[in-house]
Amino acid sequence: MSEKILEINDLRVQFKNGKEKIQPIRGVNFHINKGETLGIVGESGCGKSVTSLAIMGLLPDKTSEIASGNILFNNQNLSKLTEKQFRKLRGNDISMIFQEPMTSLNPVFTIGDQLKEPLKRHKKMSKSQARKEIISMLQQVGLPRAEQIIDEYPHQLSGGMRQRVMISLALLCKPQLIIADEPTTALDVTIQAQILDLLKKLKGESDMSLMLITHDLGVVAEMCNRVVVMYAGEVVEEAEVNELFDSPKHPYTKGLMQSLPSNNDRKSKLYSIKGQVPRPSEITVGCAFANRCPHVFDRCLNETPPSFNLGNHISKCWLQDSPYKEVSHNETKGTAIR
Amino acid sequence: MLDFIIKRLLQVILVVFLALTAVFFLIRLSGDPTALFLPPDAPREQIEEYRELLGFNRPMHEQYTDFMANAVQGDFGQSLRSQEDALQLVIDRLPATFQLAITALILSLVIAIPLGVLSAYKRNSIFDRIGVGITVLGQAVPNFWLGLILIFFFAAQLKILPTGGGGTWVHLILPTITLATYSIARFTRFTRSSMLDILRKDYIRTAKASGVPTIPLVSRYALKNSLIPIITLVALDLGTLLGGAVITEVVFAWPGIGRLLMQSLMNRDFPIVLAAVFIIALIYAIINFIADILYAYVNPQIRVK
Amino acid sequence: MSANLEKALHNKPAVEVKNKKESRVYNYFANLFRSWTGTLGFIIIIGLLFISIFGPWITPHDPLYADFSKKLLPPMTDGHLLGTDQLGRDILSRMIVGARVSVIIGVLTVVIAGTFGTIVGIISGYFRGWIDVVLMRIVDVQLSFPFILLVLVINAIIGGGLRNIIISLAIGGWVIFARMIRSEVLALREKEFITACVATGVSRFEILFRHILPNLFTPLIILASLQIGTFIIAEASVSFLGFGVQPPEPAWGNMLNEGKDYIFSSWWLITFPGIAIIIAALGVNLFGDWLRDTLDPELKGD
Repeated sequence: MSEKILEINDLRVQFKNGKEKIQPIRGVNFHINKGETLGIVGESGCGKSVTSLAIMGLLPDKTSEIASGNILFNNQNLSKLTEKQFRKLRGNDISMIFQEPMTSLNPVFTIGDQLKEPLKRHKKMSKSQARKEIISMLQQVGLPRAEQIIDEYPHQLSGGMRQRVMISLALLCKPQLIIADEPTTALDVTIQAQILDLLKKLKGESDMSLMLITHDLGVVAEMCNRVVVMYAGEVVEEAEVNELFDSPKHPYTKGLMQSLPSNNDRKSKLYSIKGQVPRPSEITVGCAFANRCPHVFDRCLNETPPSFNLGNHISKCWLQDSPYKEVSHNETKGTAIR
Repeated sequence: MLDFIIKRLLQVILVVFLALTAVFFLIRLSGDPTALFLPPDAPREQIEEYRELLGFNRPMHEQYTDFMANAVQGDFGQSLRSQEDALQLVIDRLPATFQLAITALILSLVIAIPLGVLSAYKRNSIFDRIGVGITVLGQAVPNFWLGLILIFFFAAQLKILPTGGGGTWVHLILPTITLATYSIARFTRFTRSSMLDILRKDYIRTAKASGVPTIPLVSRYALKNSLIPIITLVALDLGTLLGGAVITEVVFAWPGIGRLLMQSLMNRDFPIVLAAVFIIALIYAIINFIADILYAYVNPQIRVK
Repeated sequence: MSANLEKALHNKPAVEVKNKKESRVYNYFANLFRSWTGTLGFIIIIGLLFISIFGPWITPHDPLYADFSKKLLPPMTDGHLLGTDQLGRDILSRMIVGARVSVIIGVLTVVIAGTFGTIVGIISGYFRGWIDVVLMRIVDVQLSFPFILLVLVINAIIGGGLRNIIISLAIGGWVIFARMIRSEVLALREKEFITACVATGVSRFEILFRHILPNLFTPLIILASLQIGTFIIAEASVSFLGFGVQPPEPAWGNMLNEGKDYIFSSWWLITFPGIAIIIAALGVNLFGDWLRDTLDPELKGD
C-alpha cells in the first residue's frame, strides 16, 4: 500500500448558532495516498466543503469546532495545531482552490501583490525573485502575457483566467496536497474542460496529491483514482473509480449514477432522487438516506448502518449486511468495521 | 477622468445655485422683506426709504435676477449691521471653522478606524462591546449638551480649560472633543460594519488559505477594501460634521462661520446669511468632489479605465 | 410499511393554522425580549409615551408657575426632586411637559416627512423618466446642504413655535425617505413577481398598490423609527440655539438654552434635560436598530 498523505478519522464538526448545535459532519473517515487524486462527490449541503475547510483550519472559529476525531497530515495531527503552526502549512504544504474565481481574488490588489504573499511568507524570497517565480508560474498555468497580467487587477481578467491565477496561487509553493473545491462549477463549459486538463497536466508533472471536490460524476471519472461519496455529513461509499462506476453499492451512489443523462439513450426520462438532503437538525436515528431510499426497510429507520468493508470497497448501508445479502447483488460477505 | 471632473464641477455649480435660489425665495416669501431686514422698532419712514433703497418695491423676478447677477460676481451686498461686505465677513471666518472641523475630523478618524477594525475583528469581544457602546451612546448625545457638560467640568469646576473663545490650541481642545464625539460614533459604526462585510468575503479566505497572518490580513488586506465604503460614508457624513461645527461654535463662542451665521440669523442680517449659505454649500460640494476622486483612487475598478 | 416510515417521510411538525396572527405577535415579543437592547428601547418608548400622554396629570408642580423666592434650588430641596430653574419653576415638571413636545415633534415630523418622501420616492422610482431626474436632482441638492443647518435657517426665517419647527424639520427630513423609498421601488421593479405581473397584463396601478406598496412597509417603518431620534435631537439643537420651541413653553432644548447661563452656579439646569434627550434618543435608536435587525436581516450591521 502506498503512503498516506492525509488521513481523516471519525471527524465530527459542530456548528453553534446561539443555543442550537448542529453537526454537519458526523463521523467522516477517508484518506488520500501520496500522488493520488481523490474525488469527493455529493449533493450540495452534504458536508464536502465543510470537510475541506476543516482540513485547512479555516472553519469560522467563533461558531464552529471540531467536536471529535482527527485529521492527520503526514502523521501530524492538524486539529491539535496552533494557529501559528497552521499558517506555516497553509499555502505551503496544503493549498486550496476555491469554487468562485470571480470573488476569490481581492479586487483592490494586483495579481502580483496577491501571489507574492505565500512566497514572501513561506519561502522568504526577495521581491525580484518572487516576481520571476510568479511570472513563470503564470506561464505554466497557460496564461498569455504573464509579464503584464502580474501588474493587472482581477477585474481586468475573465473568469477562466482568474481560475488559472487561483491555481497558480495554489501551486506557487509546490504543496504536497491541493484541495480543489468545485474548481470548475462557476465557469463556462468549454473553460471547465480546459481547467480540468490543466489540473491533470500539472498533477502529472509532480507527485502532489489532489483532493477534488465536485458534484459532477463525469469529472470524477475523468480525473480521479479513488472516490468518496458523501451524504448528509457522512461517507456512504468509498471505492476505486472503476470499481465504483462498475458496481456501485450504496443506493445513493446508484441514484447519482442513474441521474446522469446518458448519451445513447436520449429519449429516456431523466432520473432524479426524490426528496432533499435532510438538514443536520432533522437527522435523528437510523440511516440518513432512509427517507429517500428506494430500498428502505424497518432496520434503516431504527439503526444507523455501520461502514461495511467489502475489500477496498466501503459502503454504509444495511443492504451490505449478510442477512440481506440476497437483496443486494450477491457480493462477498460484508464485515462491519465500526 | 476629465469628463468626470467637468461633470462634477457643473454639479457643484448647480447645487450652489439652487441652494441660493431656495434661500432667497424663502426669505422673500416669508413676509415683508423690509421688516425682516430692519430691527422691529424701526420708524415707518425708514421702512419706506429702505424698501426704495433695496429695491423691494420692484417685481420679484427682477430682484432675483439682480441678486444672482451680483452673487455671480461675489457681491452679496453689505451687512445690514456693520455695512461691511457680507461675503468678505464670511470668508474672514473661514479659517477658524476649517481649523475646528479638520482637527475634529482627524481626531475622529484616528480613533474611529482602529476602534471599528478591532471591534469587527474581535466580534463580540470586550472591544466590540466598547465599540458598539460608543456608537450607540455617541449617536444619542446631542453635541451642544456634551459641550455644556465639558465646559461645566473642565472650565467651571476644574478651571483648567477656557470656556470659549478662539485663538490658541488650548481653546481648541473642548470644541474639538465636542464635535468629534458624534463623528467618532458614526465612523466607528461605518468601519465596523464594512469591515465585518469584507471579512466575510471569499478573497479574505483565499488570503488566509495562502498563510497570511492575522495582522497583515486585517491591516493591509481587509482595511484597504473597506476604505472604499468608508470614504463614501465619511464624505456623506461631513455635512453632519459641518452642521455640528456650527452648533459647537455657538456653544464655545468659537469665531467661525457658524457663529456668524447664528448671529446673522438672530439679527436678521440676511445678506450675511445668504453669503454664508453660499460658502457652506460650496465647501460641502467641494468636499464631496474630493471624496469622489479619492474613491476612484482607492478603487482600481474605476481608476484603471 | 410501518408507521415509523410514515413519520420519517413527513417529519415536519403539523402546522397549526389557527391563531396565526396571534402567534406572530407573540413571536415578535418573544424575539424582542431576547435582545436586551431592544427590550430597553421598547421600555423607554413605552415610558416616553406614557409620560407624554399623562404628563399634565403627573407633574408634581405647575411647570409654568414661577416663584422667585425659590429660584435655583438644588435637587431634592423643598419638594423639588430635580431642583428649580432661574425663575423658580420646577425642573422635573417642566421636563415631563417637555417630553410631550419632543414626542409630538418626533412623531409628527416623521409622519409628514415620511408621507411626502414616500410619495416622491414612489413617483420617482416607479414612473422613472424625466420626473425621476428632476425629483432626484432636487434631493441631491438638498442632501448637499447640512441637514441641521437647513432646519436652522428655515426655522430662523419662518419663525419659531411648535408648528414651524415641525415644518422646518419635515422640509429638512423628507429627502432621506424619498431616496430610500425610490431605491426600494427600483429594486422591487426588478423582482420576478413584478415582472410576472407585467407579463400577465396586470395594470400599472394595481401593481403599484397591490404589489409594491405593501412591500415598502417594512423599510419605511425601520427608517421612520430611526429618524425619530434624529428629529428629536435636531429639535433640541434648534431650540437650544434660541429658535424652535419658544419659552415659556418648556422643551428640553430651550430649557438647556436658558440653563446655560447658570452653568457656573447651578449644574442641575443643564444636566437633567440633557439626560432626558439622551434617554429618549437612545430608546428610539435601540428600538429602531432591533426592528431593523429583526425585520431586515440583510441590513444588519449598519
